[in-house]
Amino acid sequence: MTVQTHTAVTTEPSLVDLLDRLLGKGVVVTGDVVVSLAGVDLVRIQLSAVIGSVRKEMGNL
Amino acid sequence: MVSESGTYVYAVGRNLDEEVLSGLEGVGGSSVRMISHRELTAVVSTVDLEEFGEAALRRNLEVLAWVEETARRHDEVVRRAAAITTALAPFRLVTIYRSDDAACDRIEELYDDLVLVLDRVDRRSEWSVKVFCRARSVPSATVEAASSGVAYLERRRAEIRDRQQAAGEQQMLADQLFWDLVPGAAATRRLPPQDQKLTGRREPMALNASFLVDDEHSTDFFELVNETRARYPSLDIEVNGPWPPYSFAVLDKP
Amino acid sequence: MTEPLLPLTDRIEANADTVERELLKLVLTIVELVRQLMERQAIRRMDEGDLSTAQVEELGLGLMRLEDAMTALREQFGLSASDLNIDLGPLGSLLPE
Repeated sequence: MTVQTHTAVTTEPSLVDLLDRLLGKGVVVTGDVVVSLAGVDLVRIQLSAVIGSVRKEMGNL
Repeated sequence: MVSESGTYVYAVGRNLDEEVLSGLEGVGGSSVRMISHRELTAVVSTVDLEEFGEAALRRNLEVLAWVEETARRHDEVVRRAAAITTALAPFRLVTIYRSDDAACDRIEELYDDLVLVLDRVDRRSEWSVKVFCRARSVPSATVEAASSGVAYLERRRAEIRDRQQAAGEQQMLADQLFWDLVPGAAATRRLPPQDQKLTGRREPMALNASFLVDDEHSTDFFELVNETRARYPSLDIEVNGPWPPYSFAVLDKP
Repeated sequence: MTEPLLPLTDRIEANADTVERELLKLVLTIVELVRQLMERQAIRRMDEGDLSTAQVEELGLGLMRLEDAMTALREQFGLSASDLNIDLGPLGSLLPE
């Protein structure tokens, strides 16, 4: 039984609230980029939000 | 060619009155009806497998407009059913069986679980509480240029730490708020934070929680949430309800 | 058939200017991501004592110039910092700042 109270917020769920509850969902973004700056390989990026670092030999700087 | 059909289940309740819901439009333009099994009633409609079969669903579930339309229709049926009973177990989107008999067989298999769910949600509704972190006032960008490369990096390090600390604090406060509200509910469920594109809000969401609250205590719960606003000025609190108990009718088996 | 419901996200109009602008925002967001990641890496390696003072200084200057260039680019296209971002749903936003 839905309760009618004058203080209740009886608005319908927004679409995103509905989808939260009626579906399972997930997001994945993937890609690879290698960058360097000032002759130092800094970062190897996986855009799936896992980041590792690449250490370059310091000898040739 | 006769296309195949299936039985789409919206929800299961106890002793629902067929009269009230018959003729209601369901998903895919179908008509809503009920099937009984023991004292349970399933709210269903017959759907075309051209649109709701496994292969079709794989396509359709990737089309946002189709998902939107189907979810809205599904929800409308669930709400109408919830309005005529005290205990309803809403099903997730697109729960489809080969036939009415297959649906009944499944309900029989799930009988004990369904009864548990119905007892759990009897005379209770779901309330949603979402918390956003209020944007902190950012100092205007009239920072002097750093005097050296090292000074620049040190300044950036301090800025990053400050921001992480503030975000960490807000998250802790949101968790604390959640625990403040728990005593007001019979059950709770935390959901993942929502996609910003869908909420249209710039601020991060620190809490997305559902509370199962006795209908006779709904005013108390609403007031409880309002009381927390003063205690957490850095949080933006959104409360919605009462809704059918979507999050509390979850069965681990489909 | 019932009428289509309102679109969930802003519809990208089939309009050359807007498509271009959306693409620009995406590209600048990726550039900004890379810049921020590089900053964090540089700070981490500075803290770990992994680089000479000269290397840190060179890195810092390079990153400082990158930030200036990024700010100028954004201003040129009338984009604020918050205009650039990608939401990864459960993973949060791409750019925390």
